[in-house]
Amino acid sequence: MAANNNGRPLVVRAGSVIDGTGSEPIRDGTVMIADGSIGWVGATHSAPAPPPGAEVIDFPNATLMPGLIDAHTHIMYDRYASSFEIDAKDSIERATINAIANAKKLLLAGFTTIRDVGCRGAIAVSVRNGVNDGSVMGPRIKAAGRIITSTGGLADFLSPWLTNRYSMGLVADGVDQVRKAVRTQVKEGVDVIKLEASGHAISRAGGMSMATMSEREIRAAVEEAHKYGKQVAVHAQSRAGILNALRAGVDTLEHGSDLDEACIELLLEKDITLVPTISNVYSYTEAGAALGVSQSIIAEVAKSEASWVRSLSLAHEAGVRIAAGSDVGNRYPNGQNAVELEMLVRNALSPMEAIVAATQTAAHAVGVVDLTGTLAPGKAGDLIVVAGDPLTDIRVLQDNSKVLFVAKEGAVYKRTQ
Amino acid sequence: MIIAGQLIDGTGADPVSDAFVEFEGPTIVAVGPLSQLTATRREGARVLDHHDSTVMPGLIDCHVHLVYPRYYRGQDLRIKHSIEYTALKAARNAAILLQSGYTTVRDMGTQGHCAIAVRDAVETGLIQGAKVVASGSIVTAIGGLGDPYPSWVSNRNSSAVTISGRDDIQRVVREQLKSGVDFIKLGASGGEASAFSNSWLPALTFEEMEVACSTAHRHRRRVAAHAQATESIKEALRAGVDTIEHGTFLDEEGLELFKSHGAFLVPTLCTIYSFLELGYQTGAPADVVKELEDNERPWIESLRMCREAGVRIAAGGDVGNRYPQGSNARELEHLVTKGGLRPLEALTAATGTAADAIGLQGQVGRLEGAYLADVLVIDGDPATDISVLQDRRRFRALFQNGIEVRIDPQLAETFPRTLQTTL
Repeated sequence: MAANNNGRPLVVRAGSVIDGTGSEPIRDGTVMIADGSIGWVGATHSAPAPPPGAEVIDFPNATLMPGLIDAHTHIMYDRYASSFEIDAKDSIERATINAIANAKKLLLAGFTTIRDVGCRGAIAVSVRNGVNDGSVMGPRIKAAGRIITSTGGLADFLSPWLTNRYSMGLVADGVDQVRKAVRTQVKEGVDVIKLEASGHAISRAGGMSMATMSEREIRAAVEEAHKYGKQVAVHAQSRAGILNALRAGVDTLEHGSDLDEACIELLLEKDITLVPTISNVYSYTEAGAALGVSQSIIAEVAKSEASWVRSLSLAHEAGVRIAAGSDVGNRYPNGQNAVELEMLVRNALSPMEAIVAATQTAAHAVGVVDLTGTLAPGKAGDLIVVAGDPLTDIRVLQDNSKVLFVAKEGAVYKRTQ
Repeated sequence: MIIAGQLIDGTGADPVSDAFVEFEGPTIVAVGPLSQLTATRREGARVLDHHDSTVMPGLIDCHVHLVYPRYYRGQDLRIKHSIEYTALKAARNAAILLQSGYTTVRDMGTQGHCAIAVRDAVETGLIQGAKVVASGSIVTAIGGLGDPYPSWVSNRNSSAVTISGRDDIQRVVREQLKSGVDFIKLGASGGEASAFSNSWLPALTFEEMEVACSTAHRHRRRVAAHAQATESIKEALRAGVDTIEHGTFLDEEGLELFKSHGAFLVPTLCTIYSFLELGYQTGAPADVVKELEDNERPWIESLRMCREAGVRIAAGGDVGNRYPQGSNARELEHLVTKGGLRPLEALTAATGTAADAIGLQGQVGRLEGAYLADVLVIDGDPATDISVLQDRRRFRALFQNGIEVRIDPQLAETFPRTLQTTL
């Protein structure tokens, strides 16, 4: 829908081409796309002649790179100020429409693939299907749907005396219920299973420093999910919760804000990808007050900042796979997802490493590494052009007006000359 | 903003060539002959010269269903699709309707809160689409209009809510009012496509409808009734409904009630002809198509009676699951070729009178000072050839609340008369 090159082949040239593998950028490079896939990547002076009917587009003072990938989104988040608002403020129909507006925003901000790790009801699955059948415009979506949570855990949001027909948390206690919850999600059509191993600052039973789900429960979820060919992403902040998740053999660890050497060993040994969502810290400590977030919540998050940053450094030094996931939507708005790259760079990663985290490694985390995430022949024609040089100033990726060009599967969704 | 051209103002007055409409922000400030367009007026304004085109109010459809998928057997899709996906498609359909020249629509029955959600998202500018006057699910009797499942199945996403008795309907109407509907839709009789009823069978009782109307009216909300059976039309009118949808089997007594209550008729001729043209192709059972074939004559006769007696006719297509969403202007063509209306009458039914029927009098539907600037500019003269409104390639400009709507070239085409898309 609304792609405007009508299937014509594309030849996109830019002053600098970053391929997403971490290699040195190509000065004056070209990417050629036909039939939705990348056909050729290299220096412009050695590029083959454009095929007949191709559209040739030049961005001399800009950087061409793979379409960005956000491994931790919540497209239904609409600046909700409390867990009640997240779970019950909007009708499920309105929340779906909010999500489709955000999906469009994300695509136009340069995110050609996202992994949505928590929504109410069937929102993410529905938006994924709507993108795939052309009803709406948005990134390629890998949907987790609802978050499987223990009673009182991360996503069991509402007070015990309230009931909500469409909630984000799917409550499951004990191995049998967890298995059933995984099967329920698989039946709903999700791509990935999302689970929680520790609570949150605002949880009713498990706060950030405690474990909620046991290792046995998480292991049951992993076994069941893998049986159905689905990967498992787990929210874990407390040391105990992290260890439970890692020992249970999850595929990605979200947040991981209290890592020690034992955790690092497990991450490496089991090749588990870390999705730090480090910008979460600053969404509270820097952006929170202006948005009316309560001081007590900001204080609790601020207490965890040192440990969160140290965990990121430890993981980075040890060579743990790090994928960019922003977790934006309630403080930083949906659309400002590239703030995660800024905060990764602020704390441990080089700009190139952050870009790889948001392209090749994120593709690995999301399960699309054979399809997209780097500029290489045979990969999907997912690419963006951003004015200037993100290696010099990574923040340019957050400026929508500087994202000049967005193509997904070789179809152009945004072009500004 | 000033647009010059042949003006059709939506009041029923003849088209005026060499005229202009001027708006500032969301509101129309002046309408008149070009001779009044002085240099002082032009100063500082953006002038669009469409002297070869017709400038008219944005179209209004009084009978849409944003959730309708392009397939007759809607209940199968309601089994298959989640409410979330349905809401997504409803939003998409609102965009298609706007792109088809419809700046305002009245949604006559939805699943869950889809129509309300789309209405609010359009109103706040979150998505682009037709403005929506929203109802909830159709309030109907058990086994009546829109109740498609046997008694051992229930679907909480059904587009009808069944009631039984005065207290029950009062509770349901209050729930819908609480959820923010603009009006209540009642199923006074069955319909041709009803699984457990027919068009000539009554469904809701007079007492039930009276409670619904008094509850809604106390909340300053209107009531619309699907009514085909003769007695249902009369009972609905006596109960105080504001519009009658379809009105298939009208008798003289019913006509008198129309006049004395000042109710509007929304004939929905597309219901008949979409079944006759596409019914079999879309999987309609033979007995449903036969019932429509039998109903065509009395239906047209009821329209003729109303028109001659001066009952106000408002246009609404009820399209979406045979004729595609966006082909709504086909209703105007049918009003002319089958219903005997002059093109200008059909245009008025889809602009000024439509606005009055749905409670937006004074706001939209006319090119007059203080009205909202919902304006369509079209190459051609719909007052001569009403069918030009179905050809989106003829659209030259479209404004909603004074803001220009970019006409999507990929959508700018004429509607196919045959069924092209599959389920």
